[in-house]
Amino acid sequence: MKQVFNKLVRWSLLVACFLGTIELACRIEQYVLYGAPLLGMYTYDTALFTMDEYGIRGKPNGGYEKWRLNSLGFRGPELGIEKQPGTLRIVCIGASETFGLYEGRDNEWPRQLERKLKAQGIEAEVINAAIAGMSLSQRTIHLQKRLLQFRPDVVVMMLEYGSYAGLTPERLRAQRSTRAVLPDHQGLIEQMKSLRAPVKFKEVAIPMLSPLAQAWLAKWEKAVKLELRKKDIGERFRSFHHIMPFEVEVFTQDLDDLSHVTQSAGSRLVLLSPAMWMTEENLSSMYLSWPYIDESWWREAHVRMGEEAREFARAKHIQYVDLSQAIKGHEAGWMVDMLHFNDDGAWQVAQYVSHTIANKEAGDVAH
Amino acid sequence: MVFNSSAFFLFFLVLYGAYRALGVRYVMQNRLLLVASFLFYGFWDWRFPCLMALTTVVDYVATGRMQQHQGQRSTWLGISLLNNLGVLFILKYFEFFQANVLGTLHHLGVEASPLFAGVILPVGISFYTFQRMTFVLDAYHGKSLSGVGFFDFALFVSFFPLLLSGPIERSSNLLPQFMRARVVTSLHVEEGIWLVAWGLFKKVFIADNLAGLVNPVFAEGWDGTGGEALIAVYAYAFQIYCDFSGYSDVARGIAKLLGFDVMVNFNLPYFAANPSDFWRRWHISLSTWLRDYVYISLGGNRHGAWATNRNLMATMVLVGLWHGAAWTFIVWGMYHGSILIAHRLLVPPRREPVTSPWYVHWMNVVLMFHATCLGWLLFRAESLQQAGGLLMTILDSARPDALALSRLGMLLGYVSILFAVQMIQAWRRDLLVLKGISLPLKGVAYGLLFYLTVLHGGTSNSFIYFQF
Repeated sequence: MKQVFNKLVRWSLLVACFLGTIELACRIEQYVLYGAPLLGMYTYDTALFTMDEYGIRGKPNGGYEKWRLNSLGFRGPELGIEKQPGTLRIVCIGASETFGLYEGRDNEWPRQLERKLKAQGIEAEVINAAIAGMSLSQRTIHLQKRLLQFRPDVVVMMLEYGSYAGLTPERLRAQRSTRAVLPDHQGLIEQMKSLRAPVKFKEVAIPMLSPLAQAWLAKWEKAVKLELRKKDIGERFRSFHHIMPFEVEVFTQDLDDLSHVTQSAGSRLVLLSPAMWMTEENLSSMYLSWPYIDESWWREAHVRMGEEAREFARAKHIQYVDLSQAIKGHEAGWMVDMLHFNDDGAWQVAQYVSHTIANKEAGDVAH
Repeated sequence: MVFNSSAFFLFFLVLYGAYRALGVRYVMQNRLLLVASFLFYGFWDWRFPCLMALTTVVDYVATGRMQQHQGQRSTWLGISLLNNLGVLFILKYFEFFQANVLGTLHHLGVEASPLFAGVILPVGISFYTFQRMTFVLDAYHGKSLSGVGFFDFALFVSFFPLLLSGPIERSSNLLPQFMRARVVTSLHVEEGIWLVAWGLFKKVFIADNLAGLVNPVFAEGWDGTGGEALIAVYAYAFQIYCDFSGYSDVARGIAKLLGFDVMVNFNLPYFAANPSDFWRRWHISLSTWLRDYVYISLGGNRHGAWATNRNLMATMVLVGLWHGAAWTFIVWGMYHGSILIAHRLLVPPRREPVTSPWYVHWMNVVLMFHATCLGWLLFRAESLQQAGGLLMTILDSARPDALALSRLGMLLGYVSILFAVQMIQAWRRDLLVLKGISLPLKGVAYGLLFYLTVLHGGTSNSFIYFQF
């Protein structure tokens, strides 16, 4: 018995030292490459975002792997609050599609927009003030409280529909009376999830597998996550099937609020519809982020809210780009999932937006 | 299917489970290994195992007849050599030979068309052909083992850990291990795991990453600096060493996990202090094969200095030719033959070993390393013209500019752990250094190897020596 126990202790020690070394090496690597803390959490959320009195914002000088924020908490190079004379200052607000998720460093569409405009001879300064997961109403607060001090000439905003799903007057009251908060990483499970070695291992090891094995693993992982989501929320899983008039009403109201804020600051507003690549595969992946929403809701929202935004823009003489139309036929080459772009896709968005900005005539420039 | 692939990992996992489940039923284990070896080889091309099976049958029959009919030994040896060297010549050397003959005829104004072209060279054919020949040649010299069954012989030829890149085992060492029960001890497992981990580290982390410093310089149209070329040559010295010795270590490790002891193929070759020492440490299984079956058969050093030097040169040209059908390999072999002869002339062999002061010894090591690197330039080049061009670039413009220094930094970064471990191996005169260290340190060492190999390894899916 004692022998078995001794053997068990020895093996445990060996395994602990083995795993500990890998974890330590990953932490040192991230410290050297990205300035990540050696101890404590280092995740996308904790490294890039923080909270203030108005909710979630970018962490000044935050950084997570390829993502770097400047001292003001925006993605991109340093900038002063005062605008340089003769510079066209553009603020881009949105969620992860605008912040940039899959694009290479400095290839998210706001950065590419700046390069494109400069190439056209327009001295432009683009502030990427997007925050992943931010709803439309939060963006209006974000603009009003944090961004108007930069006196933007143009505000470009990519719309989102997901936060309106299942909205009722009660839910709306509850939603608007509380601040959005960052995910909680305090529990033991969450702490375990923040181990660096498993994340790194997954990143590196999966591409080593055969394409068939990779596809099988991805499918399996998705199925497990979905199952967990289903267990989490029970009957409410995919319970929002159809778009409701109240949801559209609130959406339009939020657009109106945003338009007021922009107009009162003397800025020009440009609206972008989200580019939505709705394949079965992409829609099923959306259940991981939006488990309550059925794919029928997304399809209806795409049409209904898109029309609403277009009509709103027409009525208010706001420039509007329908990105879903713009990317039609090229989705596989330009997009990574239902909402996010690759480098080429981001370049196309930059092209459309630069064209819209250069064309000062208000109206629908969708193609 | 290569050792550093997930497919092999799964293949070995299943095989190992079945193998260990058979316990000490070694005949069943042998059959299992035989099937697995042919499957492993068949993953490359279904025709490869067919050819191997056919030539194996011929050799087995020839050896049997040799033992039964002593008077016909030479005839059966001839048949076997024709079987082995004939197939090797047709598949590996014929196109080279044909191209040179046609080129010479063209210069003489005679136009002729090629007999055939585009022959597929079965991977590992030089290794298993030489391995099989040890059995036949030993039988010819009356040193054969008795009672070797066909399936044991077939397994000896096709044993998958050694099949693609050796070590080229001797029948006298490996065959008896197939013919008795193996006991896989915890020491086998410990040593096996270390060899596999260390071999994969050398291959995946060092060799595959160094390819990034080497390949662009040897690519067509490269137009860089002498410093860059010089670092590429040094990098290649470590790339080829780590690639090949890495494979050998993994092969030995896998064999150990199965309960077999396979010969050491590399013994710290860059610690060699002279050319003879280098060939006692580099690709030991090939150099001893050629020493025993070619150099000694030619007369070795028994007929005076001139004959010795001639035999040395002939053997080294064969070493070059064994690597491939190209003038670069032949000249590389001649180069090594020349430095071996030069060393014999400068420092005649003595009965008593002479111990040099440590600094003289290390100066010799550095000198020998550079002589080896010069050889690698020939070996890696696509043509003799390219080798000459690169050498001129190095001599003309090798300066410690920013690019060369950054490449040097990368090279040192990749080989630093290798150097540290090999210093310990040399100091302790033990290639399995990990055996003696404490358990927590072992965990740290394996953790570090895993981190570098899996998380920072290169992505090549081939081994340099597969082409030979």
